[in-house]
Amino acid sequence: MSKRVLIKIILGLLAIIPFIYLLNYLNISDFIKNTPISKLIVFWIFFDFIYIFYRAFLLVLNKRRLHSKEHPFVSILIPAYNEEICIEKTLNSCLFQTYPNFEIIVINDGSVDKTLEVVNSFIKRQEYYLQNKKINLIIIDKPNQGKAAALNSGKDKANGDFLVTIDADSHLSFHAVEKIMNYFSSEEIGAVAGNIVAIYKDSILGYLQKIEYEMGIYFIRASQSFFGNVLVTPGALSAYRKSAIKNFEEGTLTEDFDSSVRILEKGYKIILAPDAICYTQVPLGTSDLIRQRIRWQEGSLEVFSKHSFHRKGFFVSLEWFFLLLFGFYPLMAKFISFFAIPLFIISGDYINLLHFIILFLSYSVFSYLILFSIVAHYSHDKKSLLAVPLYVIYFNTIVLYSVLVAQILIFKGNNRTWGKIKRYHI
Amino acid sequence: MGKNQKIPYLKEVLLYFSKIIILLIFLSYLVSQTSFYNQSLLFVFVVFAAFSFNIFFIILIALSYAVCFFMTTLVLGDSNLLLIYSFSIFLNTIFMFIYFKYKYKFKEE
Repeated sequence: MSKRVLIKIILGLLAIIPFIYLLNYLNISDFIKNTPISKLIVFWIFFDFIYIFYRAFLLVLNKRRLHSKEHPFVSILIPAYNEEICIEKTLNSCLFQTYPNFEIIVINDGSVDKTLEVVNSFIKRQEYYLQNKKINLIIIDKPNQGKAAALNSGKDKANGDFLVTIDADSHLSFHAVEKIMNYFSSEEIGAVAGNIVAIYKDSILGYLQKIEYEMGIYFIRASQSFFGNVLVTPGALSAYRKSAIKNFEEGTLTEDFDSSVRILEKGYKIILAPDAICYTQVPLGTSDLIRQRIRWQEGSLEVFSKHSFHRKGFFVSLEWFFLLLFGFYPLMAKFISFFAIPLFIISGDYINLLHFIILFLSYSVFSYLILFSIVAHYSHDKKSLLAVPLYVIYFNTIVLYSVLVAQILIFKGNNRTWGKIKRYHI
Repeated sequence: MGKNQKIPYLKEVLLYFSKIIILLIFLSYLVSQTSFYNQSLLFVFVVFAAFSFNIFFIILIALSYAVCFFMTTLVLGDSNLLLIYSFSIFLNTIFMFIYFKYKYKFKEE
């Protein structure tokens, strides 16, 4: 991380002074003193700031990793369930990779649409190229058992010592496999997470997700990568050392999260490859997005509950602890804070309600401005700063709602498999 | 939100909120008759209790209520609501994960 980002963080810290002055000017300090619920907001403001600066500190310390120049044989696994619209583009992007030594395995997990026909016709059309480049494209057609089972079937057939997994609704940049494989510079690296870029198709909701993905990559995973503790290897693009992964856990909602935790449990490191880019489709409808987020939240709660985090080394345990402390706890605190709104309305305390909203919005906008400016440094997308108010009001509400529903569902013990979102041509 | 799109799981969320309201009214009346009444702690308790009435989970969060109540009356005093609120939510979140661990342990066995 360059000194420029460090300066931005320091400026962000200094910017808290006019922020406090503004809150004082609006008599918010009296509100904080007199209203118990506001003290809770102040407390999670405190937690959020510690979290931001912990991550930023690791980013400052982050270093470039040594790159491997070897080209071991790689098996690209593409599990597919009803992906007739996107799979051809995915296959195309895999076929024309700059990496010289690989095979492609498509696992059709009992699709009821024309996925299999699309793949077969693709092979026929590209037959000459496949033969010429000596690329083996294998199709596995199996009954529907879920994504993890599909990945396991692909893994069993794979000839490579390394597996690259791609979602069938995503497509790779032409250097992606070469870049991601460069990061296997030592035996201790068990998996590498790719850089996922959301295709947003001029949709505002899509654009907000693109920013969120960038925050996940450049802020969270990049800082986790410092200790080799990236907690989630994204399903859209990840590379695994075959010996590091016994099996993809079946029956879980987020098999990517689960498998990365298992790899960390074995003592391997997981790092980030920010230059290995994969473009993925994101839900463009609110309803689809909520469903996807509920599945993710349910999955993380499930993984968090299934694994013990005190046996994986200090820094992994620390990441787990931060996930609990900064991931779930402030969300519960925020959720409980929101109960203040109807209470203020019922009691007719509109002045305090206004103060509550000002405090909540001003703090959120301010903290996200710091976050977005750090991320914009890497993504070179400065206009994302303009989206902060919308992100705070609209996107965060969706995430909060999803967390709440996920908790309700996990208490009920629901079991679900493939999470499907509406696909579109790209 | 598009015309044909509904908010997913809205029914479950409304049911959850109704549970909170009913529990809050019922427990507020019940606990206020005793000397263990603390409105803020009871509110946090109800928000968590409305997730599940599993006996093990209820025991865990009741334990959290007891610990925080003890802290309020004997150690911190009622003036430090910020710390009590926050600690209570934190303890309940941890207990929630302990309950999940217990639940998954049973599921796997």
